[in-house]
Amino acid sequence: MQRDPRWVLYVQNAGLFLFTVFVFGVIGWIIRLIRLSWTLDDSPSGSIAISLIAIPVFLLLLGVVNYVFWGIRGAVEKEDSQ
Amino acid sequence: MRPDAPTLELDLALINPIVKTSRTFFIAAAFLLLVILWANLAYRSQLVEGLGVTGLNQPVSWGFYITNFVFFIGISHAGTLISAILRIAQAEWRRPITRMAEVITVVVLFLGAVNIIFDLGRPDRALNVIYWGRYQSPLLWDVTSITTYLTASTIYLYLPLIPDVAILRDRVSRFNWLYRILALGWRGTERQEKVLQRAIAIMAIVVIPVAVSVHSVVSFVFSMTLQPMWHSTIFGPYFVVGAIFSGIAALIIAMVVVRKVYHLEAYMKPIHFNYLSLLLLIMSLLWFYFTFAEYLTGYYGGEPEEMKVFWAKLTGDFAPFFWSMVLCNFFIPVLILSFRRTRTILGALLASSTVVIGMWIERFIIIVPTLSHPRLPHAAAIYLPSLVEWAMFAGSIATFILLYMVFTKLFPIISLWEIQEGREVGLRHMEERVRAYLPSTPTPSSQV
Repeated sequence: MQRDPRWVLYVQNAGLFLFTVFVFGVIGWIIRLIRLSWTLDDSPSGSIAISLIAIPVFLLLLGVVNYVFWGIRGAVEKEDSQ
Repeated sequence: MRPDAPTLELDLALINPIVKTSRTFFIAAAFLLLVILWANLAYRSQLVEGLGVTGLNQPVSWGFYITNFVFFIGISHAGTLISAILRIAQAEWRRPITRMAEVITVVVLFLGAVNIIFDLGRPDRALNVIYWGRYQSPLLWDVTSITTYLTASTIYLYLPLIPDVAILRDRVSRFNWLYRILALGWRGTERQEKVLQRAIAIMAIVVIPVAVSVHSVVSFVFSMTLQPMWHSTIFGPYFVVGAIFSGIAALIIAMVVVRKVYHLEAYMKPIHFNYLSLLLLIMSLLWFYFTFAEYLTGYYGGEPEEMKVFWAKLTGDFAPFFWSMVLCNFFIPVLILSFRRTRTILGALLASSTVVIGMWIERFIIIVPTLSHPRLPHAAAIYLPSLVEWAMFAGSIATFILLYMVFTKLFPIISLWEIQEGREVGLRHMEERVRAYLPSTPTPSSQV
């Protein structure tokens, strides 16, 4: 089996990086809204309750993508090194 | 998971749409692009002149765009939810259906979100949600849950695509760079299969509550207000039921079209349509039950503001819409799908088409009649969509069809490896499962 050229690996890594930025961007946005509601005393408990669901879900999605990415790519690298 | 060359030859029909493109495809694409261009011109006029070019005004400030938003988000339940449920239930007949459903989800979710931007008038106002959003508002719950669902659905579409993309990488020269990137170096080793199967199983479980939350939250935008005929505790499940209902209908329509256009009769058999038709029939009955419960409860309460809207729907200005909705969502599908003789592919297509129309009308008459009869001292108003709104609606539908068509030209619309897996291990697994359901055969000694 022919190995993927280096540029393909770079693009794949860039894709994973962008997805990670997206997930942390969403989490950062949610945290910012909690801070805002806290500062304005604008029922922060509601914001915290929603973030308790949304943030773990996004982290789980990031985890699944990383698991697949490194699981599949790792298997190729392991096979090639053997 | 990786089909061998001889077995792959059996399923070349699934790759044919990617390597061969007929003239009809280009003609259809050109026509759709024209419609999208028309919608773009309409949007441009809205950007320049403001929302005054639409039929929206006070008191009816939500019309076609919000109707389309709720409608498209509903259709999105076709894919990920149905596919995930069938996958978890290990329904073997899911194999030719899942991908077609998952693509619908991703495309219509995107369109649903875009319709909100249309409704804002000034698209830059969307940034206010980023900067100054308040989590007390169900509108912000919508933004969060739809973003989550779109992300989860895209991952759920991509993961089962990896083995098929690897096949295309090895066999198709056009867009080879794209397949190479997306395949992640897939070789079908035991380790890779294990990783992928586990990830798909996790995602199938994750997307179900996310999907349910999305349409519940969409309903909360209405039910968390004190507006007549919106403030209802059953709106969450009512919307979810309606979403699955319209989703199944959209899926059946897509299946009939893809089957006909790409000659995939060998993969999508009458039995697949029969099973989906039975699901559609059940959802039609469930939808009727929820509608009946919703309207009966409102009627029995007899609250004056509520009754104005109630009678406007049943006998007033909105009666033609209301009764068309009941006809399209209940009487026609139930009549067609209850009988084995009419529960054919054509019957399923007819019933699904009426359901899609009926569900769009349902979204319309949930939103507009309530706003037409406000509690505030406004005169009752009737809403008439302008040509701009019709153009944007047509453009949304055209964008959906075009993106779907483009997907079928880039990737197999039926999962190759899942069909192969069905042939190789599905039969054995099913036999084992059926054996596990049945009581074990008694041995001669235990009979005594």
